[in-house]
Amino acid sequence: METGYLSLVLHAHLPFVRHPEYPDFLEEDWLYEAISETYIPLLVAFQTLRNEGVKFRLTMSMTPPLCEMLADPLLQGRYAHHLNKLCELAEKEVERTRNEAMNFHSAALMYQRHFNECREVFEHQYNRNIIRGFKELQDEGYLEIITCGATHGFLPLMSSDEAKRAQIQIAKTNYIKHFGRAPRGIWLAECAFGPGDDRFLKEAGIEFFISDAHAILYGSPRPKRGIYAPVITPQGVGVFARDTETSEQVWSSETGYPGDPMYREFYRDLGYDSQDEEYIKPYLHDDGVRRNIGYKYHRITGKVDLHQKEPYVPEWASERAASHAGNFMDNRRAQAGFLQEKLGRHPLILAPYDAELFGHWWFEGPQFLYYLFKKLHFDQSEIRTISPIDYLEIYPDNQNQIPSASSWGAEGYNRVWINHQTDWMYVHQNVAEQRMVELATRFRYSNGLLLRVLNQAARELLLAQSSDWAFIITTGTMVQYAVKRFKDHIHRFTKLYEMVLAENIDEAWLAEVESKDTIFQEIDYRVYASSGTGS
Amino acid sequence: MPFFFDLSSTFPLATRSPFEPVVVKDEVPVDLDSTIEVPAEPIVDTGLPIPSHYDIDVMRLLVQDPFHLYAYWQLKDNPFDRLKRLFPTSEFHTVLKLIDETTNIAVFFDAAFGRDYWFSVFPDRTYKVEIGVRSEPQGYIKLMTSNAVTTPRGTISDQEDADAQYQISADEYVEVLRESHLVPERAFTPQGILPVAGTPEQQTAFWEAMPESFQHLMSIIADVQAGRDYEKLWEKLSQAELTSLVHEFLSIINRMSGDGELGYMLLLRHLPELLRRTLSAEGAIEVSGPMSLYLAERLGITASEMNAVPSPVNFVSSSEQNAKPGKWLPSMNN
Repeated sequence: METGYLSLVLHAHLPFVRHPEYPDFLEEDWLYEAISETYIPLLVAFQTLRNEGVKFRLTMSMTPPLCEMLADPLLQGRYAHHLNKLCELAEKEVERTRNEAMNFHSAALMYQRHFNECREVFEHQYNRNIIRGFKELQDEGYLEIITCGATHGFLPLMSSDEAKRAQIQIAKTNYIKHFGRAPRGIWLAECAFGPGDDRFLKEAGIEFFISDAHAILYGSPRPKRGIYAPVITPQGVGVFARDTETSEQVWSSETGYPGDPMYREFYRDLGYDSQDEEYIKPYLHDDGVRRNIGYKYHRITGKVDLHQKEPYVPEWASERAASHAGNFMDNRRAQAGFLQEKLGRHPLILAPYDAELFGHWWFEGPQFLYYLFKKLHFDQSEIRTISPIDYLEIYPDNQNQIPSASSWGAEGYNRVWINHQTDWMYVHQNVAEQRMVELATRFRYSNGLLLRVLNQAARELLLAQSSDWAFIITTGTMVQYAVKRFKDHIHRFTKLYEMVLAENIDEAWLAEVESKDTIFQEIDYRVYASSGTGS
Repeated sequence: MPFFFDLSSTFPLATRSPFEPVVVKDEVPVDLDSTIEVPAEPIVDTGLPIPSHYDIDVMRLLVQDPFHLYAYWQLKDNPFDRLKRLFPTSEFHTVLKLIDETTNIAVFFDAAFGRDYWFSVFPDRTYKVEIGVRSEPQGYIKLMTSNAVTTPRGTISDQEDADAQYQISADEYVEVLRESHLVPERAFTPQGILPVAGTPEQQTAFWEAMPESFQHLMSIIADVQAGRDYEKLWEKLSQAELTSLVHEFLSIINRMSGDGELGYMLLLRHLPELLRRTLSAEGAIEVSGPMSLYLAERLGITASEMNAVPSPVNFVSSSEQNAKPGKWLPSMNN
């Protein structure tokens, strides 16, 4: 007998990193690694489930910057090259381990299969654009793909309604470009919500968003069903909050599944471990610095030093993923049964995660999801996987509430993005927002060079607004790259603004900037115009 | 954790630096006529230059969390030139005026020559900040006002749904909260908030040794955390208890070690308001030690000056008075 619903939400996002000006750029690896370790393995897991007749429903946000990179020919070409190198190494590794390190041979064979499968999916199945694979699964009803602010902008720290509206409207247009229909839900960047922001979602026809637990629990009036049913904002948008307990089970570094001794160890990588300088060199960046290359041969083993890690055995790890999936399912069944009695209706247990946790951080994550959906389909009947949008159809009547301002960052508010390390950024970002509104309001009609400048100014503002830069600065890794990116976009925006005011456009420079920051070719800067009158 | 949240930078055995410089290969200009060798060293790209000043008047207030606001400002013209002409004999200095619109309390801070400022504030209030100048004879002159922001409540709402089908009693809501695992269970009892090491006898002795007012306060805080009581907690305490609390507070807080972190946090959340109310009734009170740094900022003691108008004072005591927007702020008379 059915007692409740489970809604898994995977948030797939990377900031827009694309550097045609360099032949080889380190941070572009984020995308390549995520494709090989997360996006393709997820796609393959979902396709396998479908082919095995498993009914499942999963919600996934694919952010506009990620979609723009996945669809970009330059990055596709670079990934193809990257993948070819990994496949080439796979053959050598199979040989090497057979001859001198039999302990690692089964892992080497696994990598050979894995990277060749990636190439099959990437090159042949989807002709280099894997968005098509996700779209296909959405069209068939397995996935509900939702959008996100255009560049993962942190709405509560923006200075105007126009700036917030543009993040949502541009995201919607971009979603339609990639998925052929309008988005029904949104993942607000960092789950950051401020009362009143629902208005911009409503305007874009968005029916629901994902929030952290305290958005609803601290919302007003008090929510009768807590986080196990959505609330409806004053503008009529559904809010679905994450279940803290379910998140912990997967996230927690102490008690979560990914820390199991059988699973693959992230920090032992052939890129560092190889003793043979000449052998490994072709697979490193051109600077020759030792880095992760994605061949990892050890398992977590336990609380031991890195040099004491034992060899990774793919079969053991798979078995463990299956048993964790069973454990996860049983916990949800117990939870749903308990909650249903308390709530007087089927609870919705919503478990949102960064998609990159599955595969990149937790290598066996995609297998875990595969086993979970399979078990949920064949082994029980209490829990059904649905998307938030399905819940609103099952239970159209929900409590009205003003959710609390909140985010899913540490401490639940804005501290991760605004603090003593990042406070200097906001005057620049906010001034650029005000200036963009000024330009769009003043130049409601434009063409030729002016149109190009105004559209590029909008792109530069949007790229500066990515919440990723402040996040990276706060967490203290790759800080200089984040600072560089923020400053580059503010610099370019300012120069474009000044060129418009001076009526003196440097076309060569404009063309160069257009060739670098290519995101949102469909953009229309007029989305920034204020509702007042302009010239 | 996001993709680029690279834990390896904090990992003890990792040998690489957190930032890998970009090696520029094709972009280095080569002068073919020159005999100078092009250096092959990596170039670290720290980004293109951005303006240090925008030549506009701008002042914005941003929320960090229920307790902190950040303000930045830029002025197009230096106000002192004009002021000097108008009031040649007066000495002006720049001040920030933080206005709590919920309670109509304003506090001045010395802005010196800064461009930004972090404020410690209260949850669930609406604030604005002004920048202005002050002098002895002329008083306060406002230059610019920020946007208004509201701090998050940071806890459970005291509002119950008007629609009967969504009403929920406090006890039932505790169950909902517990099931959600949002607030740690130990925050629901006074003993959980301030755990004491030792045998059960020692723990009981600790609590019995606490002043009654403190015990009462901790149980009120636990009730609020557990959703058992949504009323404003200070209304649950008598004036005598409030006064006693202020005197006991410093010694008690000093006894707390790392184990009492939750209690410490909750006391800090609720006590400033209690102190504010005590002060309003009792007059000035001495606050010393590290706590004074924390409390004083909230109470406006570290501000360069108190409100320029002598009465009504900063601390408005009765709720009736709070409810009425008064014309007591000098800049509001303009």
